[in-house]
Amino acid sequence: MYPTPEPLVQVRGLCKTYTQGHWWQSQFQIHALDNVNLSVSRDSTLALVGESGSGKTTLAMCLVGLEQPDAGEIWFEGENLLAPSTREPVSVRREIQLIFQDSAGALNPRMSAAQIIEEPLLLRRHGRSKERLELVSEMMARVGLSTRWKDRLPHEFSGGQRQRVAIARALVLRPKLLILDEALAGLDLSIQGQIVNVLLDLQASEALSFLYISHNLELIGHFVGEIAVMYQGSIVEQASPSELFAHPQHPHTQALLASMPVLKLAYSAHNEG
Amino acid sequence: MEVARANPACTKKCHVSGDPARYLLRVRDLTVQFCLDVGREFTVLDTISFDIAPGEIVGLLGESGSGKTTTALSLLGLLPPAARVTNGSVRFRGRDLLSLNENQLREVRGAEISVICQDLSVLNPVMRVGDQVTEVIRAHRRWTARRAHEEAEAVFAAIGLGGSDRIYSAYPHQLSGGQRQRIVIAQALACKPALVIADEPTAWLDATTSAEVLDFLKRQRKLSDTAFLFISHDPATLATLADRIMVMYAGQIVENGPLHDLYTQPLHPYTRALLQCAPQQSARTDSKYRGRRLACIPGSPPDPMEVLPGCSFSSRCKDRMDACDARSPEQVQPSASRLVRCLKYGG
Repeated sequence: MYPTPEPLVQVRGLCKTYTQGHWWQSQFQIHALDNVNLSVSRDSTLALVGESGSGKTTLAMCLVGLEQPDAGEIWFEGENLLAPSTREPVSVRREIQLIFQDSAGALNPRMSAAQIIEEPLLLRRHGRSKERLELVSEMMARVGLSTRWKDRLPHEFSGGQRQRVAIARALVLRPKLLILDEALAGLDLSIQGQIVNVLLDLQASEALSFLYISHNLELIGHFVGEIAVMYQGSIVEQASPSELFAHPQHPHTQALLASMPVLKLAYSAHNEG
Repeated sequence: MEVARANPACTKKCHVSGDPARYLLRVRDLTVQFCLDVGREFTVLDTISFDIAPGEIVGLLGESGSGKTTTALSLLGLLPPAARVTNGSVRFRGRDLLSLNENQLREVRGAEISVICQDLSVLNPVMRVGDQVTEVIRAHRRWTARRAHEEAEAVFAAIGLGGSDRIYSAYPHQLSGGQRQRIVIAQALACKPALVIADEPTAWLDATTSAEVLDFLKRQRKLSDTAFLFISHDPATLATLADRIMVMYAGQIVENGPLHDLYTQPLHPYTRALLQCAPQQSARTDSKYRGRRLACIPGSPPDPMEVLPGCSFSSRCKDRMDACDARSPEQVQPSASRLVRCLKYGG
């Protein structure tokens, strides 16, 4: 039923419920994830779209282990991450990395760019300091940051450059899955393009899958193998971009597509350069 | 009007709007400088000139740091203390806004020109949202509390939050992002201003909510002939509602023209590059775009602290000529409704 070879990540029947209200108040439950099934194949990109509050970020949090789901299974490379396993959870987690929307809040303001990118290596006790520094320089070059900026602090970078530092930090441990939680929202168009190009180049050069979470469908045609639409905690539709945009099945997908502003009177210079 | 004198091709009306004789806001040669230390001054807005006609929706398009928000703030005298207007004039209904004192400005703000901020933290967290809208009305009208309350409820009904007391008497944290955004819009529209400055009002909303908000603003224009200065970094958002687009780069308006003309035939190389960056509709269904690199503008915008001679876009420009590094282009008018600031067109 699933395409061969075996997908990198397979999520089955994942549920997460939050209870709101204290004991002295009337309590009610929010089903953030309601029986979610999802699979991400190797070296490809899955986009997860849906309006705010549909449970996209909760799913990302469960995948990286920042939230504990109530029920369900997360299979990563043949291992169930939620079962008490023989492998240390930490060593699996290094293969799944997460990038947040707000890069300013995700970087320590008092550490330099090089220190931020080196930190995951230090936590893994990876190599000698010289090797680590070489790896940091290599990572900075790959995401398009000048190595002259090693000693800059996060506030000295622009938004796009900060997002590159976050990407370099996430990729320095060579993960197999990178989760981008609205990582491009709030960036300028030209910067968005630059970051997407960095990600496409990285994906072309090494085995890397992306889970691209967004409420925005604009970049998806360039970027994505499959799109999953999330609505009120469940995946209501999953299809390739051409199928989804041409024949949206679920009413919520139709509403989502109708509300997207698109450049219809576009200057057609795409073939020019 | 030095711009007009400098170039004979540009007649004395070096501005564009629906009807040149009838304007609501007229900004001429507005220049704003920031002063960090003594002697360390840099120019954030460089001789900005534009007009807004009554009921017109003007889109201000540009990347972050290009001076969009500074333009909005300088119109209402809301600049931070480090900033200073060094030149230019802002005329609104024939009055010079820059010469008004703080008390006179307070009467203009909210009643005649109002601002919708991007940041929803402008709402008071410990005050009911209905009271926050009533407060705006009572600040400008000598009305009884009851009448102001009725007026606020009418505004709530108009923006689609009416009919129930629940939202009127809620606190900001009890509402969703889209509802809070509507409250901020309700505050801005409560006194029926002639001009609303909307600074990226939909940047943090998801697609469905943002479409509703944009729809509402368009209806508002039809209903009450309110003019909008709509600030955004996204060409697609502006395409849904603007009549005219002004493109901003490094503190200058580099191009100004009607929406359709500007999007289909951009003149300035920056506008062209920016529109190429925008994801196209065909990219959605056409699988040939899959995995294809996006067009992007190489390099980054110039640092306002380092002023180099010549055009500020020259280092990133595809059509750069030798003359571009020598002098900064003037604004020229290649056709009746369009303005551009580029040496290619003789600026």
